[in-house]
Amino acid sequence: MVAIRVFLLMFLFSWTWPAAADKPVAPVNVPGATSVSAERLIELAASTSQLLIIDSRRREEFDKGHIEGAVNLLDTDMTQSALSRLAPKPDTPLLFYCNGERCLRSSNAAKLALDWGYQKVYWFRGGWKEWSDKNLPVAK
Amino acid sequence: MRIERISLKTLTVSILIVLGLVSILLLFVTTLFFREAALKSQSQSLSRVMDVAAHEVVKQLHTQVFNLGSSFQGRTEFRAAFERFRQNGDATSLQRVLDDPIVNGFVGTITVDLVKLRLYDPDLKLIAQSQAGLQGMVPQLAPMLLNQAAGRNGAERLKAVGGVWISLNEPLYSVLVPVGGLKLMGYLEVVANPTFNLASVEAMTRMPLTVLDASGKVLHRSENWPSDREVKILDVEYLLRTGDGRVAYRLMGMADVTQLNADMARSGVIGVLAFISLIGASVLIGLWFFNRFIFKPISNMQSEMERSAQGDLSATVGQQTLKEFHALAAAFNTMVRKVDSNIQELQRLSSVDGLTGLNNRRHFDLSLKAEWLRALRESQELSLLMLDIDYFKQYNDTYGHLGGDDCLRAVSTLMQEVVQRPGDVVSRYGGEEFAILLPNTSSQGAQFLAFKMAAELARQNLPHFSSPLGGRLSLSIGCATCRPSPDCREESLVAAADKALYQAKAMGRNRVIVAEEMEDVAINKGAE
Repeated sequence: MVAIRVFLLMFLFSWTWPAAADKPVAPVNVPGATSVSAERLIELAASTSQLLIIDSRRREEFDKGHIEGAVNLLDTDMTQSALSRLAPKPDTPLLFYCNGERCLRSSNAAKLALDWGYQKVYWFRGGWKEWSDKNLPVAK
Repeated sequence: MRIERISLKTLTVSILIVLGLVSILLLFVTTLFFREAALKSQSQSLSRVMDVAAHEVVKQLHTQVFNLGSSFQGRTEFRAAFERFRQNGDATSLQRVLDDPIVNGFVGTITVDLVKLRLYDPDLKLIAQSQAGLQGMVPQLAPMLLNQAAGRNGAERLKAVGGVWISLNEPLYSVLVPVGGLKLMGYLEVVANPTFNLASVEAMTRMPLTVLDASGKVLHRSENWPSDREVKILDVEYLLRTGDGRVAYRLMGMADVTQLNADMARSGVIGVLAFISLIGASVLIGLWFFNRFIFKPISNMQSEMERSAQGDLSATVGQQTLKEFHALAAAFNTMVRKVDSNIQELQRLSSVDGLTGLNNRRHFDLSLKAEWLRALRESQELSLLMLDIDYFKQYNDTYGHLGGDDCLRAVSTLMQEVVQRPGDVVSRYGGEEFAILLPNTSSQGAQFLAFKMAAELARQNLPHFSSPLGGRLSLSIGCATCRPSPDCREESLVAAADKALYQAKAMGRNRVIVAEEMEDVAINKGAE
């Protein structure tokens, strides 16, 4: 019985342990932003000529391969002025992606863009992992 | 050969040896089959290994070709040349750009044998191709790739497709890479020669390798490919097919099976030796067993049966053997016992007089002969009494034959009561005549017995109305004694006793007459 109680206590408090805190997972959606898949992204790129694709990853990751036409802007480097240089108008459609659901950069960046008043914000949650898993064209 | 000439032992040993030889033969054949199966299995396993290696190589090739195409289509000068071609149809710079990697190579072409670059519009119509590289290709996308690439929509159109196909009997590997990133401008087909990469299957499988095309033309042959086919070699074959199922390559490998063969041969020899030992041991144990429980008992039975056949009915056949032979021996023993008792019964019947139960004439003759010889041998006296019931014919006439029989039985009983020595032989000599053989008995002893008998009969006072001798039953007795000698025969004793009896009758019956001495003793006087 003692063993069971100890086990139950361990179970109850397990969330407080650092080891139990798993790697960060991106939110399912970012309120105000439109979540898209790789296929939707391609359709969007074809239909929306103004679409600005922002790769929120580090430079070296970007250099190894990225979606063609994307610009590299690390989320922590992204200031309102830096973004407004790329997209001066708040109605410019913006699409953020990073490495995938294990990565929080693009969701953070999308939230910032929404905070700063951008109206058409898209978020590609699957990111680079989904893109390369689907054997879609890669630019280097 | 006739079956009677074959002994059980020979048959058993032959059967055991034949069984043994057949087993060894079977083992030998089995070993051969086993060896074949092992080699086949080995070949299949190695073929599987080759399959895996070839697929791995093709997978790597796909990645390399895809990467090559991917980076090539992103090059600025290619994009610029393509754009110029799309705008004004000027193909000169596009041609130069397409030829460049084949002529000069670049980093991606180190691991790939690049043979052609071909450019298609988004509807997969050929618009340009490298002049350099493989010549004589059909100016359109291979049907196998067309099947994969045509009719796709949306994002699917941006995906690369690839596979092995055959152009003019030559196997090739193509990857169709979309050009233009998210805005599809067309497709770049990167064509490579897979033979260059398939050579690495040798390093992966560690087998000497020969790569042939479907027609059997050698495309690549390993330096390690043995020219000496004497080496014990197992051929391994694997067929690499195109995306639409045609044979593109025959990959042939070789495995040195010397060790395997040696192992098989060794296990075969060990198996045969083990079997031979096993069979030898079985034969020995079998022989011992058969010998102990069948052959020896049967041999004993045979000699004992022969003894019985020669008349020794006391012989018993041993029964310490297997069930069937035990039953046989028991049956034989029972039969011998039965025969023995029957013979004894017959002997008894043949020596007994049916009416009186006394010994019969036949037995008397045999006894006389035997006793005569014994007396001769031991120089003892032998006496013989011959007895006759007086006026027995009249007795029969008076009392009938049944009465006569009773009379004979009564006299017999009397004689048996009087003669008490076991060696004395009381016999019915014939009709109303009796004979009593008295071994080792003097004349006096014989006379005593004769008188005692006459007296006992008188004492019993048996009636005989028609007898002139006082209406009582009486006996006439002839008595003879002699000491047998080699020049005298037993018949003389009988003759003497008979003669004495005749004299007793002639002298008026109811008396004892002793031969030779001719003593005439009145019975009545003697009895009284």
